[in-house]
Amino acid sequence: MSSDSGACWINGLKQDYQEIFVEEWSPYLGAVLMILIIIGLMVSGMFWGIYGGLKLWGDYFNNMIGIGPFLGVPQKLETLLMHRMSLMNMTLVLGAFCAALLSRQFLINRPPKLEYVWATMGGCLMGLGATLAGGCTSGGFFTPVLHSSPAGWVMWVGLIGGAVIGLKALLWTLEHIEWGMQAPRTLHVPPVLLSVYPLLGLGVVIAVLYWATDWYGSGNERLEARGILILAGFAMGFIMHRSRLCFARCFREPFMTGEGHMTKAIILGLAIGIPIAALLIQKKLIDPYLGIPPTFWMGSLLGGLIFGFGMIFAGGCASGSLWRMGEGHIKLWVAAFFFAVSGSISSALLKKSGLMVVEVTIDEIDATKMGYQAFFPVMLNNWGWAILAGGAALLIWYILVSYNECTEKFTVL
Amino acid sequence: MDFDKELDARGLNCPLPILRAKKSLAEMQSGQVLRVTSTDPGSMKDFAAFAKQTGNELLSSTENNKEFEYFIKRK
Repeated sequence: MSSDSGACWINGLKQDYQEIFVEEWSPYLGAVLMILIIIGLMVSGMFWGIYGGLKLWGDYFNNMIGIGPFLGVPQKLETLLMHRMSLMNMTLVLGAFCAALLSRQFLINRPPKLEYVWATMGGCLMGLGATLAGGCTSGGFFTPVLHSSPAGWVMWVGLIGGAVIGLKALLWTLEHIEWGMQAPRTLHVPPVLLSVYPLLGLGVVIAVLYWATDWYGSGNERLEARGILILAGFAMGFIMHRSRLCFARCFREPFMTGEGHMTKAIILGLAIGIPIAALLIQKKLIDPYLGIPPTFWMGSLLGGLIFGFGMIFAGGCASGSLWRMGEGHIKLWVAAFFFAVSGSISSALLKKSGLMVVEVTIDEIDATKMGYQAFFPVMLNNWGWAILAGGAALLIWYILVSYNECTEKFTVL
Repeated sequence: MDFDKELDARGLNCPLPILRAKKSLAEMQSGQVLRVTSTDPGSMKDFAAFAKQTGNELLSSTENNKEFEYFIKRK
């Protein structure tokens, strides 16, 4: 009897493990969990962004190879672990890596040669686009929309345009380019190693938890704040890998196969997040302008177009690139590298040219030649209209996606 | 399983396995079977959705040591 219940318990554990750590999560679950974490970040006075961290990595690289001073890249840089977005990016990759180990999906995935060309091109365009828009799909679209800024919605327009043009261009290359399409031999994981993947994953979790608690309990205020970020980034990477949450898919899939699950999941996340964020802003728990780039509307539109095009060729958005890095896709490591370098160069040159020098306006908001910090409650004079504007945009998006799911009217394949 | 055409999509991540499969299927005749190999963990769900969306039947979808194998019948 006791051995029966023992076997039953073990089977139960195995099944739970399978469901939680191996089976794919619904993107809706992923989106809702992401919103929870982002709200947690907002309460801690921080917004979610990825581009800022990548740009820092690019700055370090450009300084290291000596072109930094010539371009105008900042010479005094925050350290990689102290810069908040850089830290979160790193733990995001770790979180995805851990999730990939636990699900035994981690694999060093080598793409055909042509893919490296696309990774380079896509990454460079993403860096430029994110600079113009003041952020990537996270910091230039998702976060501003969450903070009730029309800049996010303008980038949305750009991203859609860029994704459609990018998809058509990608299809063209499939028809006309033969070079570099040969897949290299798959690097198989020895069964012994594969069987200890979950243990390695557990090791990563323990190490990260130890790191975070060590910083959080250090008594140093800066380390304390960053201890939370370690966990937030890690959780986001984990969640995004399990649910394969990707903004590139969100924008691209309706035009490709007509399928709209990822899109609708992002819509759901925003629908939940916008009102909660509005509440936090009104309670003065967070300054909304922290999450709003000074790019409304030219920067957001142009940046969105360029970024949207680039992410199709790169094979992932900003966060999508990071979690796929954790899963072992070499192509995305290359794309992220060029995203970082290009972001650093674009930022330096656009500042040097005067196009993206930040000035403070008479209304005490930031502005550049590419736009200003636009905030719905200020533009529309009250919060009611602001929420309505965001809600209306989400509804229109949902209707278009659902309509397309049935009729496939907008697909370009 | 017998197949008429083969697509090696290993090393590619989304959206390429689907895009290349679509192209291969377009060049085939109705009733013919396409065999696709992929290493993208997301491809299982992708191909199931693709089959459902396009009406090309997914005859089988299996995984063996990190390589996914799909047999799709051209409608």
